[in-house]
Amino acid sequence: MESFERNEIKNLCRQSGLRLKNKEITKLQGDLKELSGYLEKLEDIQVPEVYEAIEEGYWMHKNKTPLRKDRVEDFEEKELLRKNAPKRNKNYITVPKVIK
Amino acid sequence: MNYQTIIGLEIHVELTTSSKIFCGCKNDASGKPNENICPTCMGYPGTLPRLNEKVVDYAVKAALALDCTVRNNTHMDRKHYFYPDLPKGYQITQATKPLGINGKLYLEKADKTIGIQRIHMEEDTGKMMHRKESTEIDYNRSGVPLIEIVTAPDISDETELLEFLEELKNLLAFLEISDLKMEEGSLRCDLNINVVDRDRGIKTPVMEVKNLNSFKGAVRAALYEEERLQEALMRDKELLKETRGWDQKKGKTVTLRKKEDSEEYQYFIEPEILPLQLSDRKIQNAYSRLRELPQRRRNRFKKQYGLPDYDVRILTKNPYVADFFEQALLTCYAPKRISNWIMTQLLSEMDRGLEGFQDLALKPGDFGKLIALMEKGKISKKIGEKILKEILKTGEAPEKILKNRNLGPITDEEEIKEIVQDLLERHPKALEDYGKKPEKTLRFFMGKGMEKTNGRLDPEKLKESLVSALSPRDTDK
Amino acid sequence: MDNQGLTIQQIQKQLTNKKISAEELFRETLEKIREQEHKIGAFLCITEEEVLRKGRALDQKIQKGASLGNLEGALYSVKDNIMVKGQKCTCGSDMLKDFIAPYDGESILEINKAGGISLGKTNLDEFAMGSSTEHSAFKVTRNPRDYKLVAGGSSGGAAAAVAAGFGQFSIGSDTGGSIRQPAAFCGVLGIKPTYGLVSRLGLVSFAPSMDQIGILSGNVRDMARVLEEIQGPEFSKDYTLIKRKPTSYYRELADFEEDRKSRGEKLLQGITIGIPKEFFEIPMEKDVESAMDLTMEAFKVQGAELVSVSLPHFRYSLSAYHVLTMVEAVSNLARYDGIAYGNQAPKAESITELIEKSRGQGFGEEVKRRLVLGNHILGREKTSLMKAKRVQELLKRDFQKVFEGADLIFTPTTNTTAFKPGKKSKNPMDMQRLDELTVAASLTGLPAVSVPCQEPGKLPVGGQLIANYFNESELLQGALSLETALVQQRRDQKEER
Repeated sequence: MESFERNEIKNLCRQSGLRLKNKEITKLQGDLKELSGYLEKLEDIQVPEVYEAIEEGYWMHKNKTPLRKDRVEDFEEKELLRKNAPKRNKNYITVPKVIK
Repeated sequence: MNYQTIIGLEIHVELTTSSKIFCGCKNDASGKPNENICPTCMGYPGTLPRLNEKVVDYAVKAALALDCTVRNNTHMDRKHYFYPDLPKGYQITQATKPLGINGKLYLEKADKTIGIQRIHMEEDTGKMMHRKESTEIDYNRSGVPLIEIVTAPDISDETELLEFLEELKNLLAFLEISDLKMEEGSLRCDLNINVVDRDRGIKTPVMEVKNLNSFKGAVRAALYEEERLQEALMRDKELLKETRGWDQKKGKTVTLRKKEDSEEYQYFIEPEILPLQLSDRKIQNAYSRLRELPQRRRNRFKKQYGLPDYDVRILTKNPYVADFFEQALLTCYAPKRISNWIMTQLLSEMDRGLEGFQDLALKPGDFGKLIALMEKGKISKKIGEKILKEILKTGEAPEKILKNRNLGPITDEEEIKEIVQDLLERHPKALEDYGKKPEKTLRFFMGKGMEKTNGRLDPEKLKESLVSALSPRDTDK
Repeated sequence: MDNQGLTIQQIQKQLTNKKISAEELFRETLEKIREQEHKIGAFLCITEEEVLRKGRALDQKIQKGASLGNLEGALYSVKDNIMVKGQKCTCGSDMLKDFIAPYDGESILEINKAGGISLGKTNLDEFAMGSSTEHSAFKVTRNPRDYKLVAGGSSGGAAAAVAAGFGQFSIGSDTGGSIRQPAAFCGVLGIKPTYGLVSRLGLVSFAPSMDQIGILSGNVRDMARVLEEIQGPEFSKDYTLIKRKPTSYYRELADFEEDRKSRGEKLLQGITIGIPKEFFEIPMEKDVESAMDLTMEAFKVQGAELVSVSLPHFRYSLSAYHVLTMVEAVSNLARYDGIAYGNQAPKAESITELIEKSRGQGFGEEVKRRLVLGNHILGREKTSLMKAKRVQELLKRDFQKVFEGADLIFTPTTNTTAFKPGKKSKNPMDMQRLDELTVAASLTGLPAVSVPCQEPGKLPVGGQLIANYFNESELLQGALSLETALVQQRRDQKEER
C-alpha cells in the first residue's frame, strides 16, 4: 500500500473530529505504511462470512448481561460535575451558537 | 399523472421508568437543568453502562403488542457522531440486532395493515436550548430510555398517516409505558417520504422530515412535502436526499441538512453491555401479561354490547375508561345508558377529560348503582345528575346520598295530594284557566310541581293526582 | 531506619509493636520522595498533607489497640488514568489537564476500605497509549535503576514509584503490557489479572475489551494481599465483572509455602512450565537471553519440569492487537470534545470547529495518530478488523491446548532492557514492538505477571508467567517460587565465590 492521499487524511481527520496542522497531516501520510505492515500480516487469516460468528467471540467470557433494578440512585456531587464544564451559565453548560 | 406517495415513519417513545436506561439517575427530563445527572449519563471517562431491566420489559411489551418477533439473543451497538448533546460521542442503541422485528398494525378505517420493520431500545440525548449568543445544554434528558419504532414505507396518504398515529398512540396507551405527549416530546415522529411517478417510472429521493409537534402538524407536513415533491417531478427538477424540518408557523418544510451518501456512524458492538438473552418462556410470559389491546377490545365491545362505533372509540381510548365501563356493567347491565352517561354526564364533570379516569375517586360499582336507580325508574334523570355531582364531591354511595339529601322520590299519595292542594291554592288564576285550556294548565301545574319538589315527584303520580284534584272542580261546576 | 523492602505484613508488625509510628514511617517515605523524585519524575501530583493526616489517624487507631485492615500502614500510588475523587485525573493529556475526578474508581474504594493510603497520581503515556511515558503531555519518567533511561510504559510512573521505594505498591492499568513492561524495565513485579476479575469502573479505558487494572509491587506477598482486596464483585456496579466467590490469595500463598516446607518439597515440584518456542525466536538483547537462561535454571532447581510448547498464532498477535486497539480507541476517545468537561479551544465559529480544535489541541501526537489510523480501519478495512478478532479466538485455542499439558507458561516480558528516551520514539513501529511478548495475554484475557529475574548489577529484565483464566493463585505461587528461587540462586552464587 502506498501512502495516504492528503485528502484522505483530511477526511479521516474530519471523521475523528480532529483539526490538524499541515505538518501533522504530512507526517500521518507516511504512517499508513506502518499500518499496512500490520494489515499485511493478517492477510492469511480466514474469516467466516457470517457476522454472527464474529459476534459469538466478541466478549471475553461467555456471560449474559445482568440487569439493573429500576430504582433511582441519586448522584450527590452534582456540582462537581458542573464545575468541570469549561463554559457555564448558572446550571447550564454552554457552547457557541450551533444553528445560525 | 399517476403519482404515488410513499411514507414511512420513525417514532421515538420516551419510557416512563423511574430511572434512566444506563444509570440510576431519575428519569425526568424536565425540572431544573443539570440536576438529574451523574458521571455515566454525562459521558464521563471511566464510567460503565448498566441496563435497566424495566426498559427491556417495556420494549418487549411494545414489540409484542405490535405483533413483532422478539429476538432471543440481542446486544447493543455504538453509533458514533460528534454533537454537544451526545456526551460520549456515541449513542448506545441497537443497530444490527433490534429487539423486535417484522410486526404490524392494522388500520380499521383504511382497512390496511402497516408493517413494523423494527423496534429497539436506545438512549436519549441531552437538550440544547438556542439563545442569542450561545447554546445552553441540559443533560437531564441524556440517558432517558427510548424505544424506536420504524414502520415499513406502507403509508400512502395523510388519512392513513393520521389513523396510524392515532391507532399507535391508542395501542401504546394500553401498555402504560409512556406519557405519549407529542407536545412534550414523550412521543416523537419523523417522516420519511418520497413520491413516485408511475407513468414515467421515476421517483424523488426519500426526504426525512423532522420537528413534528403534533398529529395535525405531521399531516400538514406530509401534505406540504407531498406537494413539493410532486411539483419537482412535474418540473423535472432534480432533488437531493435531505433532512428537512417542519416550520409550523410558516406552514412549510425547510432544509436542515443535506445528507451525504454515507452517513458514517461507524457502528460497532457495545463491548460494555454483555449479550441480552430472552428465553422463549420469558417472552411468552410477557405476552400473556399483556392486557387486552385496543383493537380487540373495540371489536368485543361492538359485538358483546352492541355499541355504535362512536361510543366504542371513546370507551377504548385508554385502558382506564375501558375498565371503568366494564366494571360498571357488573353492577348494572345497561351498556348503552352507561356508555351515554360516561361520555356525557361523567366526562363533563372531569376537567382532565378521559385522562382523569386513571385516578378517578368514583368507584365503577357506585356509578353502576346510580344508573341502576334510573333504569328501575326509582329516580329521574335530573335527580341522577344531581346525585352524580354529589358522589364526585363527597365519594358517598348513591343510596346514601339519595336518603340523606332528601333526593328520594315522593311516592306517598297523601303527600302528593298535599303538594297538589298547595299548588292549586298558590296559583288561583291558572286554576281558573283550567276550564278554558285544560292541557296547558295541566302542563303548567306539572312544571310547577316538579320545580317545587326538585323533580322528586313521580310524573305519572303527579299527573294522576292533579287530574283528580282538578276534575271535581270541573264536575262541581 | 530504612524501611525499603519491607512487606506490608512486616510494616504492620513494626507499627503494632510500636517500633515506629505511622506518621514517622510516612514522613520517611515523603522525605525519600522529596530527595529523589526530581530525578525520576514518577508523580504528576503528590498528596503530602493527606498522607500525614491519615498517618496520624492511623496512629490513634493503633493506640486504641484496634485491629488493622489488610492494607493499613501501606502507602500506594495510582496511575493517573484511574479516578480518585477530588483529585485531578489527567490521563497524561492536555485534554484533561484541569479535570477533577468526581468519583472514586472501584479499586480505589476497595483499597481505601482496607486501609491503604494514596501518595498521589503517577505519570503515564497519554491515555495509556505508549510504552515509555515519552508520550505523556507533562514529562518523561526516568528509570530509578538508571536515570538516563526510561521507566517503560504506559504505567511508567507507577513502576518507577515502586522501584524507588515510593510506597509499597502501585495501581496501574495494562492493555497490552502497560504494567508488565515497565515492571520489567524497573525491576519490580507487575501483574495483569484475568480480564473480568477486577472492576474497570473508574479506569479511563481506551480499549475496553482488553484493559485491566493491575498491581505493581516489590514482592509477591504484597501483590497477593492487594489482589485480594481489589478483586470483584464487591460493589457490583460493574456489570462486566465475572461473578465468582472471592479468593483469599494472600492466605492461599502462605498456605502453599507452609505446605511445601512441611512436606520438604521443592516449591515447583510437580509443576510443568511451558516454554513457547515462538516467543524465544524473536531477536533478543544478550542480557535478556542470559537472564532467561538463569531463570530456567532456577525453575529446574526448584523442581519444575520445563516442556517446549507452541503457540502458533503468536506471529499475528501484535498486528491483531494494534488493529483492535486502534479501533476501540476511536470509540472510547470520542467523548473528549471539550464540552461537558476537558479542555476547550478558546476560539471557534461553529460547533464542528470547536470540537475539532479542542481535540486537535488537546490530544498529543501518538493519540491523534491512532485515532486517524483507527478511523481508516473502521472505514475501509472492516475485514481486517474481523481477522484481528479471529486471531483472538485462535490464540485462545492455542493457549488452551498448551494448558492441557502445562500449569504455567513462561516467556520473557520484553526482548530489550530499558532504553534512552528518544531512541524508539522516532519510529512508532519500534516503540510498538516492545509490546510484542505481552499482547498475547491481553488478547486472550489470561492473567500474567512479570517477575524481575536479572542478576543484580545489570539492567533489570522481566520474566513473564502466564496462567489459565482465574488461576491467579497458581500464578502467584509460580511468581513466589521464582522470587524465592532467584534469591536462593544469588545466595548460592555468592557462596561459591
